[in-house]
Amino acid sequence: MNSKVETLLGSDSEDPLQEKKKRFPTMKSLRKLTQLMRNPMLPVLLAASSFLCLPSCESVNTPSAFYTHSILFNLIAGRGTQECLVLKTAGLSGTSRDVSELQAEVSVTDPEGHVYTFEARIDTLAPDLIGSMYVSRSQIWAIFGQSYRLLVRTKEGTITGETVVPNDFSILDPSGGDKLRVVNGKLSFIIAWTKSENAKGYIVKVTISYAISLGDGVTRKSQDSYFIDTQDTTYTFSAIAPGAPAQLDSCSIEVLAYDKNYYSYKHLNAESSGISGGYGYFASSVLKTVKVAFIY
Amino acid sequence: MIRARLAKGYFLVSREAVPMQLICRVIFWRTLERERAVLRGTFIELLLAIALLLSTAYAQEHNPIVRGFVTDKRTGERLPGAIIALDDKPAGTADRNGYFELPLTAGLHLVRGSMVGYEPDLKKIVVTNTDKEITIFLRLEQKAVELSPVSVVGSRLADQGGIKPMDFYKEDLQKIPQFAESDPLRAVQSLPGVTSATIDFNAQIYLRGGNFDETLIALDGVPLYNPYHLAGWLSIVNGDLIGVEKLYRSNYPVNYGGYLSGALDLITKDGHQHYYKGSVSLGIPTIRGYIEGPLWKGSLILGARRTYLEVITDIPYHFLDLFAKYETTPDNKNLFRASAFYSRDAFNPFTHGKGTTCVDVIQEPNWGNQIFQLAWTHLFGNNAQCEISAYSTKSSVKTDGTKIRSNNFGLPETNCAHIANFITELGLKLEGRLLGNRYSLLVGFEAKSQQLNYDWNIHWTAYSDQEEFLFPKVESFYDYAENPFQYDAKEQLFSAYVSNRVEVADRLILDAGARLSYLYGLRKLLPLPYAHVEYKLTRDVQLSGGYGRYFQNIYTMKENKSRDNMFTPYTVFFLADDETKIAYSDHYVAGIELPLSETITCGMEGYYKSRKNLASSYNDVSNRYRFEDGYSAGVDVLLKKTRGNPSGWLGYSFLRAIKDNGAYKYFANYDRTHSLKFFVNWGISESWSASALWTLASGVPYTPIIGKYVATDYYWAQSEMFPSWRPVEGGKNSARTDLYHRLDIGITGSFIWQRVLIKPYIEVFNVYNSPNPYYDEFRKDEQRASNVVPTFGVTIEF
Repeated sequence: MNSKVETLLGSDSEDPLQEKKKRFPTMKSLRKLTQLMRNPMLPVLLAASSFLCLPSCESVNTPSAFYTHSILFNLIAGRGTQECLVLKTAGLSGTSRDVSELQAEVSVTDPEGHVYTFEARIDTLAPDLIGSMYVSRSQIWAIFGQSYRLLVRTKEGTITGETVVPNDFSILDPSGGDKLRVVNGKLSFIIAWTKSENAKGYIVKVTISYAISLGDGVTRKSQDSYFIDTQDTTYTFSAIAPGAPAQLDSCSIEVLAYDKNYYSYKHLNAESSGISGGYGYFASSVLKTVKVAFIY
Repeated sequence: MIRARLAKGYFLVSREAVPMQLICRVIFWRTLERERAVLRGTFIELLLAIALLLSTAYAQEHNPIVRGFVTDKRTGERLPGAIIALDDKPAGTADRNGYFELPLTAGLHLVRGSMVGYEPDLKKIVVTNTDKEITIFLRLEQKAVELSPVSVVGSRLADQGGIKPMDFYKEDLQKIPQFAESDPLRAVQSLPGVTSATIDFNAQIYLRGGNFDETLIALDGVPLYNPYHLAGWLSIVNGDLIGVEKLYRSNYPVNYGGYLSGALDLITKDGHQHYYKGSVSLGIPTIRGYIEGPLWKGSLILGARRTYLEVITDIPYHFLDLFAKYETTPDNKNLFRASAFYSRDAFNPFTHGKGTTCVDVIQEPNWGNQIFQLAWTHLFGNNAQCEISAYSTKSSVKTDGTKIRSNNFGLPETNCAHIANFITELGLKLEGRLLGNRYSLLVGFEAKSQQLNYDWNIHWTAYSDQEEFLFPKVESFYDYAENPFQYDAKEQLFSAYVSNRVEVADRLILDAGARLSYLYGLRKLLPLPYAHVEYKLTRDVQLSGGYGRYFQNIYTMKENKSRDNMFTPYTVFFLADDETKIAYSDHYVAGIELPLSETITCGMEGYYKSRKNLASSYNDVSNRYRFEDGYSAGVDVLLKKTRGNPSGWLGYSFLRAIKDNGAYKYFANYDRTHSLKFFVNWGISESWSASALWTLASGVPYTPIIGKYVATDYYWAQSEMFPSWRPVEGGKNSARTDLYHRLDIGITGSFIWQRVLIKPYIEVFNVYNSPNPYYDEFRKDEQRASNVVPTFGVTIEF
């Protein structure tokens, strides 16, 4: 097709009868703008628009929700020496190999108002991670069903916490002195315990200790640990027993009944549970242990 | 022209075909008139006549013709009966399809199309001897005249006036280059004051600092809940069925209600009453079509659209939408209308995927909408009308199955999946309009019933109490609602509204009114005043201002913030169950509109919207959501060129959307401080046009990760050797992603074949592969691009 089509009117072009004008701007348009600017309503309109726009210029300052420290403290009834991790919050970038905080003052107050203090020591949390563990200077025997308060003072601020110790319970099966049988290289037995009031859940830790004969009368002792988190009061444990030349020695069964603070932190991913002013948790648990032997 | 000398005198023989009978008659006449024929003369005349006949026949076979369509420039509708003039002489009219065809000679010609109510379109054509066929399109633009709001045939209740909506017509829709296909919801995102807060492909719209659930999206006035296909990438409404989209970005009129930010009413086209027409389109990822035409004493429109990806790929997903509308006018005072809409999305990984094992699948996941509407319009004389309408709208998502195991698409094993969610609304509306000399009165009454029923239970791991204990409150793709979850709520709303648009003086128009709504379940009465003023500063310059109060009793918790799963097929709504959860907003607007030249207009509008009781979401386990106050304010500027070639617009928005949780203020998730949109459409030739849309916008706010802390008590860690870390979040929405920009282009052709219009198109989304910072706020060194996405297809209009 060699024709040429040119739109002269209507939708695509301007009226050809009039002299072709420049599209934007024209002298006429500039005159119109000038006239408009002289109109007294214009300042009124600009003022009204500015009034509406002013809030848009408001600067917004939001606080940084940044706690400088985290606490990981499980007060365990049934154990005298209590241990508490007090760590610094790390920046986003960098390797953060050292999160230790050795200058904090840590104390726990019991229901009667007695204050127990803690002392700091370096603790290697992982091969490339240095932390700080605070250990109670004296034995703290937490009482079932009672409330304990935590106070941690650092240079940056104060962290407080409170927890209610779960009630007592007991391990029904196996009981101390029982012997566990290894059948066809497998260990299988039922662990049962009574309910602990105020406990939200239970962690069961089964530790199997065994010795491996290396010859020439040399043996090496080792152990395998298994953890189970449950809300039930029974659990059927089943595992492959270490085979020869390992010789099973004993089995330690620990049941830890933990409170709602620990549950909230661990399962609900709460940022702070049982504490305020820091990340982590201040929780309490009741620990029961039973040791049994093996027979083949 | 050839003059043949025959008998006495001459008679002119034109280039038109000379019938054989005439030649024979001439010869015969000669034989009769003269006893002695001069054989030579007769022979010569015969030769001449034969030569004339042959040359005429040859000329007709090879004479060029001009043909084309006459259409409405805004709507794209054909204009049958339009007058076609060739070289200032009437040459015919467009046929019932708007089609015309004229023979031409070599040389310069002027072809003009005109019609009452339209500006004429004139084309200059230069024709050479080698041309055979020339295609032109005469696109007529409606004259800016006041049309009477009262009309029965194919009527819509005209806008009451007051604040003018931004109208989008079907032709506008098709010009804007988009991802996949032209979409009515994504198209309005090219305007100032309208944003897509999150990602490139999302069709959710945010009006002037409001959340997406604060905008009423309606189909012929019927609310649509979850109106999206493809997890929000496309809307459920087929763009081919839209006659006009009316967008109110704020201060919307009293006949709409129940939403805080604004309203987008998708008005479907009216069926043609005299002949059948329609179109079929094949593109990516859908095939769609519609047909309209006379039926009995009225007109019928049918439309359908479906994806076909599951046929050509392994993607086990498809959607389907169907539409039907019938209108009839038994006499010149009454119009009856009935319409139905159905949409369904289905995701079938359990039965159609490869390597899938499934057991006991009762119903695969599917979601969709159903709408029914009946309306009757009656005219009282020439200046009053009344409409009664009833509707039902339903949105649902369902799945049911047990022991579903699939290794498709990384889906985990599921031991139980049950979802039965329904949102149902029934409505009845009575509305009347009265047109006086200097006033226009609107009165209406509306009753609606809203019902929400949710029931879901999804277990991604073994179905046991133990697993539920270890992994409680799983937010499996329903924002901030637990799993399992059951919810039943109901509300009845009764509203009465009135507004009167009065010409107070020659230059001053005032539209004042109110809407009174009563929430029966909460026993709460809500007065909602409304006012709008227009003042003609000069002949061309118009000032406007307005105020309105709005409420919303239905809301979502979803705010589409960073790290949200964008592929959510369904959003959960909640009903306010006490007064404190009813959201309110006061809108204040002031604007000016003036022409900068003959073809360019400039509009500027400032606004402020106060907002109370907005639902906000938090990651705080103990307090997942709360109700907060806030506001949004800003300015929208639009420079628009509607005439000439090229045409398009440049839009700029400045926006602040702030929330206040009582402790501090923060930016709302959908705050975009600056937004620039440049759209241009250029007619390259009669058959080809190109368009481009360039978007530049500020980043969106997000809550940054500013640190980490050791999270595991490794003394009791379960099989963990090393401590793990948890992230520390900074202030809510205290950071902002990088600047966002993107260019989309499209090319569309128009060709005529056998009176059918064929329109191929190619569109490229994100031409220069601009990355989307929304994805990358945590790993700036691993920016992911949005990808260049070409799409193409063809539309055949008949």
